[in-house]
Amino acid sequence: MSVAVQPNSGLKAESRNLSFFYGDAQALKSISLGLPDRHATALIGPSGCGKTTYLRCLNRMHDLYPGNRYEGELLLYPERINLVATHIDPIEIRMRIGMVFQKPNPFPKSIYENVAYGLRIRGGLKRTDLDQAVERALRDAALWPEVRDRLHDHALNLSGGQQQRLCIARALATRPEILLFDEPTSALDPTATARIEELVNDLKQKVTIVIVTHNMQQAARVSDYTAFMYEGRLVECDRTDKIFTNPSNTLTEAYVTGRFG
Amino acid sequence: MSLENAIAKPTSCGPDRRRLARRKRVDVLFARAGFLVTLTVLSVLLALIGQLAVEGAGRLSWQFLTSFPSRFAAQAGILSAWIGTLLVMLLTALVAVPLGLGAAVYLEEYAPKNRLTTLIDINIANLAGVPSIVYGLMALALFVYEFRLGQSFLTAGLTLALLVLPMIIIAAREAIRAVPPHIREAAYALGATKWQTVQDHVLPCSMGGIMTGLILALSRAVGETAPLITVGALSFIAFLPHPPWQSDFPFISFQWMFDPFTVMPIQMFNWVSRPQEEFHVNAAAAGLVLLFMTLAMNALAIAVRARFRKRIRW
Amino acid sequence: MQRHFDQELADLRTEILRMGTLVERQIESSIQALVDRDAHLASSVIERDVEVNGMDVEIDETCIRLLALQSPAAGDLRFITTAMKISTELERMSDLAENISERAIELNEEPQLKPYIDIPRMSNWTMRMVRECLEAFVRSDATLARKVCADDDFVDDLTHQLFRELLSFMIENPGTISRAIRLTFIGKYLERIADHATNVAELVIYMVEGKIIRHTSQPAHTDSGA
Repeated sequence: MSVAVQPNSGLKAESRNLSFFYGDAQALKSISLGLPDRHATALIGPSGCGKTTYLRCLNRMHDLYPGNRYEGELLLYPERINLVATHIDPIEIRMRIGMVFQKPNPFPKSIYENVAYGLRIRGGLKRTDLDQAVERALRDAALWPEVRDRLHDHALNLSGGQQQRLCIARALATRPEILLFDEPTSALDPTATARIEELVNDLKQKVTIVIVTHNMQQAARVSDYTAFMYEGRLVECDRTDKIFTNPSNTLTEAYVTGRFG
Repeated sequence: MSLENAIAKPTSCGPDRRRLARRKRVDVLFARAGFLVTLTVLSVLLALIGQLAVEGAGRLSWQFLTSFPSRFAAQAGILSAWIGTLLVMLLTALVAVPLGLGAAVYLEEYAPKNRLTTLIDINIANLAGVPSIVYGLMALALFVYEFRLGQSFLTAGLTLALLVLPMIIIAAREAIRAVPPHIREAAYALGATKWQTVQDHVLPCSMGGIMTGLILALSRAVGETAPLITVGALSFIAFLPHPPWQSDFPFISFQWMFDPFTVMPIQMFNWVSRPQEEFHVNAAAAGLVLLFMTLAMNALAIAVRARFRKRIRW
Repeated sequence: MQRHFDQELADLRTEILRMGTLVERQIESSIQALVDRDAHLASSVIERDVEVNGMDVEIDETCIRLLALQSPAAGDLRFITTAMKISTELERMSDLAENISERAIELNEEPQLKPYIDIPRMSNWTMRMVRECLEAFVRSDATLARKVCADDDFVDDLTHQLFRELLSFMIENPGTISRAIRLTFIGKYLERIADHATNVAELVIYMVEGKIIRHTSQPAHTDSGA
């Protein structure tokens, strides 16, 4: 029933008939979706459609809470590892796939310590390497000019938009292959939102991005591919310009023109 | 500007105003009642302290603090008592803190949510309410006789540790639970293991609450008399325990842990039970010192908590 | 869920229809003025062109406002952008009707060259194309739009036929040149009105199907459609 257009570029990850259960309740129904490498894919849909649930399958965040179950496959390329197989260690996955959350959640430590944390827990880095990695991550997150002189200030002294960019830097420091964004700007003002969207536009050329958003215009501005989900199913996935000018599915059209949801 | 079709309506209608006035009156009434209650409580507290001070303040002196108990009231002092209290507190803390924290971390972070864990939860809550003399009896049977530890500092420390353990576990669990889930998720999302998350984020964030709980539990232990009497605290100890060091290897001695012991409350109880008036004065003075020690510990708790709160904000 | 926006879209559709109806009348009146040699009617067509221009501007402004404020997507977006372009096409059609009227007034200064047969035939055909392209727009009917595109060939053929006939007039009798040339112009204007109607039809196909078929050479086939 769903229309999924295979993108021209190679895939970084792909789910095949992925289903997910919170206990007995089925939240995702057999989702088959490809995520193209070094492009941004947006997940849109009304509340409760399963887009955040799908996102959190990618880095096995559901494993933190008891009673959850996966079915089907979620393949990571190029090695074709099945991310949701029980023998795969979630810690290893989370070292390759990073996440930025809805509400900025920097650690209550210094700016430097926040960015360095992901590298510290892996161990094996000298102080100078750590400094370089922190600077690189902060530059990639477009935050370096604002914090270069106060790296040891408390992270919570930053504004909301800066804190979110700090969280992005923190996720980037470990050079993830995929970066997941869970409604990253819904708690921010329009200026901060615009800066984060600029950042995502820059980042998507270097790292595969999956972004869940309630804001359709944001999905339109920022993503190359858009997947529309409804009630746990994938309804349509296609190039973003096609979804917003001429979607193939009437349900997609109704959602995108604001007639429901 | 007509308000005919608007939603807002003018607020100066009669019945609304009367109701508003009544609500305000109740508000003021409650504020005044609260103030009176607080005043009453403060007065009672001040009266207690005042009574002690009036009786015993005159007796406070360097001699009092550095002398051993004696049959003569004027020469009696609390040296062995307050050193005993400190040493017992030290042992209690050394035993209770790691056990309590470890249990709290395990129960909050690692234990699966099943029937066994619920059972453990209920039991800990119950243990917090068990009368302290029961702990004394249990300690007597277990530590003094079964383990042959004797009526010593070690026994006292272990007994009080068991007594305050449930309180520490509950307070630590509350503090750990108060760490918001988004901090944990952020750590996990970076690939941290559970222990790394606990060590680097959960414990530092909850340390303020944990420390408060710890010091409050120890403050309570300072004043416990019944279990210590049961395990054999002596009330006339005219000597200090063995020093914790020794001249040959390994230079640390644990001998003192097996020495007989006494603590402040017991010394006070002993003096109060005597007929002579002077000993009552001594007891009051000792009470002041004990009060001071408790207040000092609470102040420490507040200072530590404030320091941790300043660093950790979310 | 009926929204305020849906009402605005319906109003826009009505406005286009009103403009289209007015333009149809302009074309009809201009040919009528030619056939009846009615200078008064021709002048009124010329005057009314201002009204058509005003409607074009209004529709443009409405569309821009809707784009700015509503951020429409998909079908709504195609409808609004198509409406803007259709309004431009209609305005050009009215300009051409004005041109026809100007030539008609000029032709009144000399006796009628010949009975007007082809020109009314062309104008009837063209006006039907105009009517049908607007109907296709209102009904979102891509099939009707494709028919309009195909009908353009007939007008083109008639234009060539008219030109050949007038050419022969001019060769035989140079005194007819000024009238014949004016009549040629009128034929050209009608042909261009038909082209604009075809443009409208192509826009309607884009609006309905999301495919841009303008400037391609295969407008008449329903190929691998949605």
